[in-house]
Amino acid sequence: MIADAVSKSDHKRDAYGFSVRPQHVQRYREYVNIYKEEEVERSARWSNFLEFHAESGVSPTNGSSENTHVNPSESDKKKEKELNKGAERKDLNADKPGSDLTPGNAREEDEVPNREKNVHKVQLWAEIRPSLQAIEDLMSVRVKMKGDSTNGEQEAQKLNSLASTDETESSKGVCENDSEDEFYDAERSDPIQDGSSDGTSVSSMSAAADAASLVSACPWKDELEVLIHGGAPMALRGELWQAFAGVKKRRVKNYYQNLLAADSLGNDIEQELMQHTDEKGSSTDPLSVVEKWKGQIEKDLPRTFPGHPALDDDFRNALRRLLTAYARHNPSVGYCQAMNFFAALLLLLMPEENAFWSLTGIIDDYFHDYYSEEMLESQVDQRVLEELLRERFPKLVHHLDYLGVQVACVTGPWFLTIFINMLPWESVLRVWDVLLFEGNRVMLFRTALALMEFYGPALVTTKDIGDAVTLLQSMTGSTFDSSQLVFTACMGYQNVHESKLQELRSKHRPAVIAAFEERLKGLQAWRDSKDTATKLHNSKQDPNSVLASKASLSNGSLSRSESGSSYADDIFISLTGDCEIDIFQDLQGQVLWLKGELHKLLQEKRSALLRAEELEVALMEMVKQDNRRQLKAKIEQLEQGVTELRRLVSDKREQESAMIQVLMRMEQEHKVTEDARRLAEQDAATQRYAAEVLQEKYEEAVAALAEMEERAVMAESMLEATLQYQSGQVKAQPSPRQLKQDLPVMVSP
Amino acid sequence: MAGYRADEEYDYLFKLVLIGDSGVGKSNLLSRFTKNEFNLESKSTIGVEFATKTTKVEGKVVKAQIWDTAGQERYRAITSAYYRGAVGALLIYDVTRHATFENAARWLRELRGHTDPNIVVMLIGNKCDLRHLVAVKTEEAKAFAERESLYFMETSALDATNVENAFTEVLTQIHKIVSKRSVDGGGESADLPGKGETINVKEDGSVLKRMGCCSN
Repeated sequence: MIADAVSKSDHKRDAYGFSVRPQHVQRYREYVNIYKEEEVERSARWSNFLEFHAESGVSPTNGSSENTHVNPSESDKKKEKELNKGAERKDLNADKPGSDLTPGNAREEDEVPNREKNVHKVQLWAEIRPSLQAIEDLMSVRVKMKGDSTNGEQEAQKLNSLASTDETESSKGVCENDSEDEFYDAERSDPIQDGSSDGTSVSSMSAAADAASLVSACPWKDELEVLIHGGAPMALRGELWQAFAGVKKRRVKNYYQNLLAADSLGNDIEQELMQHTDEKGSSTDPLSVVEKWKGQIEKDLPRTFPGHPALDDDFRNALRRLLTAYARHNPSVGYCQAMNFFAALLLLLMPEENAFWSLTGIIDDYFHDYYSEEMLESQVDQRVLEELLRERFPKLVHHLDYLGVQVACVTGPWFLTIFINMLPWESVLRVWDVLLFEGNRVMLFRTALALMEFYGPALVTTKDIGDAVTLLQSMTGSTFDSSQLVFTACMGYQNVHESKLQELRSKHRPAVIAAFEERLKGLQAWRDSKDTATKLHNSKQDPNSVLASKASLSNGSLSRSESGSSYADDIFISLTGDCEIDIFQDLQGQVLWLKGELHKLLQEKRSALLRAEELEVALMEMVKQDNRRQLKAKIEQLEQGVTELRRLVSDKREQESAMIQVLMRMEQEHKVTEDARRLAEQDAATQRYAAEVLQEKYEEAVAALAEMEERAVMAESMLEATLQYQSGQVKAQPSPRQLKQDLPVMVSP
Repeated sequence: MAGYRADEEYDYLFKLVLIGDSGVGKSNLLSRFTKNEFNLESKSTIGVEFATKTTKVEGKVVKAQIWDTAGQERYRAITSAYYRGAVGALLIYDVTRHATFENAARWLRELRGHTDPNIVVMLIGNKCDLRHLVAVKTEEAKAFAERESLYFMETSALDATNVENAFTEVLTQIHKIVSKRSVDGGGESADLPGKGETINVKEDGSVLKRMGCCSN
C-alpha cells in the first residue's frame, strides 16, 4: 500500500503518500535523497542483524533454522534495493518471484508480506514474518509481565476504570441522585488511582527490570536498540511495531470480530458490554455513549489524512470498524480525537486486526488514562514537561513566561497526536519506532526537549505570543532531519527516563486532579441541585467523622484539662464534701476518685454538647432537606395543578376555537343569505323598474290610442260631413232650386 | 530562524478564541480569514491550533491572535486553559445541525467561566451556503444571541460569506471597548482590557440590529 503511494508520489506527497505542506516542499526535496540513502543503509543493517541473530541461534523459536534461509533472501532483497537506488518495494516484490532461488518454505514466508500488502483489505489478521519472532518474543515479555502481574494491580485498574465511568456518568448527570456520591467516590478513589498508577509504574518498572534482566541475558538487545534508533526499514516497520507492541501476545481470538458483531447481531453485545461496564443499571446510558462515539467517529473519518491516495472507501470502513471496536473494547476511553490518526497509521502498515491489537497496546498501556474522558494524564505530562523545560532551558522559559506563552499550547498537541501532523512524516515514524520499542512515553519528552533545543535560540528572539507560537509550529513542521532529531532526543536526554517521569508525574498529578475537580464542581453547580438525598447522606456521614475526631481530641486534652479543671473540682468537693467524707476515709483517694468522676462527667457533658450540636446541625440539615422536599412536593403539586389548568385552558381554548369556527361558519352563512337577499332585492327593484317602464309605455300607448280614436272620430265626422255635402250636391244637380237650398246648409256648419 | 520575519508594527494585539462543537467548521473559518483558504478535506483539530492576522480596524492596525480549539467534549478540559486572556470569542454552530446550536449554551458557560466578563462574543451560524439543509432558523439564533447579549452573524467559510465581516466586527467592538477605556483611563496605551473594570457590552444593543446576515 505504501509502495503504491510511493509510485504515485509527486512533489506534493512524501514517500508515504502524505501531503507535504507547500512551504516545505523545497526542503522535503532536499531530504528525499538522504532518506533514500538512509533507508538503504538501515535495510542492510537490519538484514545483517536478523541474519546474524538467526544464525547465532539465540531465537528460541523453532523456525530459526528456516530463518537462516529466509534472511539471505531478504538481504538479497535489500541488496537488490541497494542496486537500483530509490527502488520501491513494489518493484522489488515484482522482481522477487523470478529471482527467488531460495527453498520453497522460505519463499512462502517471503510471500507473507506480499500477500499482506496486496490482499490487505480482505485479510484481517496476519502473523509477522518468522525472522522477527525472536524480537516479538523478547518484547512480549513486557505484555506478559503486565498482564500476569498481581491481581491487586488489575483490581486497582478495574477500580480506576470504574471510577472513571462513575465520573463520566456523574458529569453526564445521568444518576442525578447519586451523582455527588459518586463524585466523592471518585475523589476517594483518586488516591487509589494514584496508588495504582504508582503501583503500575512500580510493577511495570519491576517488570521492565525483570524484562531487562531477561533481556540483558539476550546479547542482541543493545544492538536492537541502536538499530531502532536508526529507524525501522519501511518493509519491516509494520511488523516490527507489532512485535514491539506484543500484538501476538495480546491477541484473543475472535475478540475483535465479536466486538464488531454487535452491529450485525443487534444490541446483544452492546447490552452485554453494558452489563460489564455499568452495573449501576442506567440502562440507556452505555448505548447512547456508543452512539456518541459513532457520531464523532463518523465526523473524523473523512478528516483523517484527507487526500491520502490509499484512503479509499474500503480503508475508511476498516478505520470505522477499528475505532468502533476499540471504543467497545475500552468504554472508559471510547473514542477520543487523535485516535483516528493512530488507527489510520497502523492500518496503513498492517492488517486490520493486527492494527487493533497494536492500538490497544498503545492506548491501554503506553497511554493509559491519556485519552479517557478526563484526559488527566495528558495534562499531568504537560506539567512535567514544563518542569523539565524549566530545568533545561531556563532562559527560553523565562522569555516565554515574559511573553505569556503557555508552552503546553504547542507541546500539548505534540503529545496528544504523538507528533502526527506536527513533524514531517519521516520524523514522525522515527519517533514512533523508538516510542513503541520502549513501550512508554519517554520518547515524547525526549523529542520535545530535542525540538526545544533546536528551536529555543530562535524563539528567544520573538516579540509576542503569536510570533513565538507560529514560529515554533512552523519550525517543528520542517524538522526534516529525522536522524538528527532522534539521536539528539535519545542520546542528549538519557537522564530523562521512565522512573524520573513517574516521580515528576506523581508530583504534579494532585494539582491536575484538583483542577479537574474544580471544573467538575463548576459543572455540578451549574446543573440542577436535585441531589438532596446525597447531601443528607453526607451530613449524616460527616458529623460522625467530626465527632470521632473531636472525641479523640478531647481525649488528648484530658491531661491538659486536669489542671485547668481543678478549680471546678474544688467547688464540687466543697459542695458534696460533707457526705462523701464519711464514706471515704482516705481523703486523697477520695479527691482522686471525685476528680476522675468529675472528669468523666465533664467529658460526657462535653461530648454530649458536641453531639447535640452535631445533631442540631444534622437536624437543621434534615429540616432543610425536609423543607426542600416539602417544597418540592408542593412545587410538584403546583406544577401538576398548573399542568391541569393548562390542560383545561387548552381544552377551553379548543372549545373556544371550535365555537369560533361554528360562529364563523354561521356568520358566513348569514352573510351568504344576506347577499342572496340583497341580490333578490336588487332583482326586485330592477323588475319593479321594468314594470314601471312598461306601465309608462302602456299608458303612452293608451294615450296614443285615445288620440287615434279621437282622430278617427273626427275623421268619421268629417267623412260624414263630406258625404252629406256630396249627397247634397247630387240632389241639387237635377234642379237648381234644390242646389240653392242645399248651399246655405253647407255653409252653416 | 527559518521562516521567521520581524513582526510588523501594530497598535493593538487582540486574542480571540474559536469555540463550538466538532465539525462546525472552526478551522476552516480560521483559514478562510487568515489565509483566504478553504479546505473541504480538513483534518481534525487536536488540542489547539493557532494563527494570526493583521487588519485595519477604525484606522488602527490590529493584530488578531486566534486560537482554534478542538471540538470534542473531552478536550474542553485542555482547551479551556487557552481561553484565559481572550478579549473576543467566536462561538460557532453549524446551521445544518441543530444539536450544535443547542450546545452553544454550554460552550458559552464554559467560556464565561474562564474569561473576563467583558469579552466580546459573537454567535456564528456557519455553513449558511447549505440553504436547503438549514436546521437552525436565523430568528431562533438571533433570539438566543439577544438573550445572551451576543453579536450574531451567519457565515459560510466555503463561499466566504460574512467571514471577514464577522471577524472585523468582533475586532471593531473590542477596539471600541478598549479605546473607550484608554480615553477614560487617561490615554494609557491600550493593551488587553484589564480586569476589574466593567464595560457593559449589552449597553449598545443596537449593534445586533445593525449586523447583516446572509439568510437572503
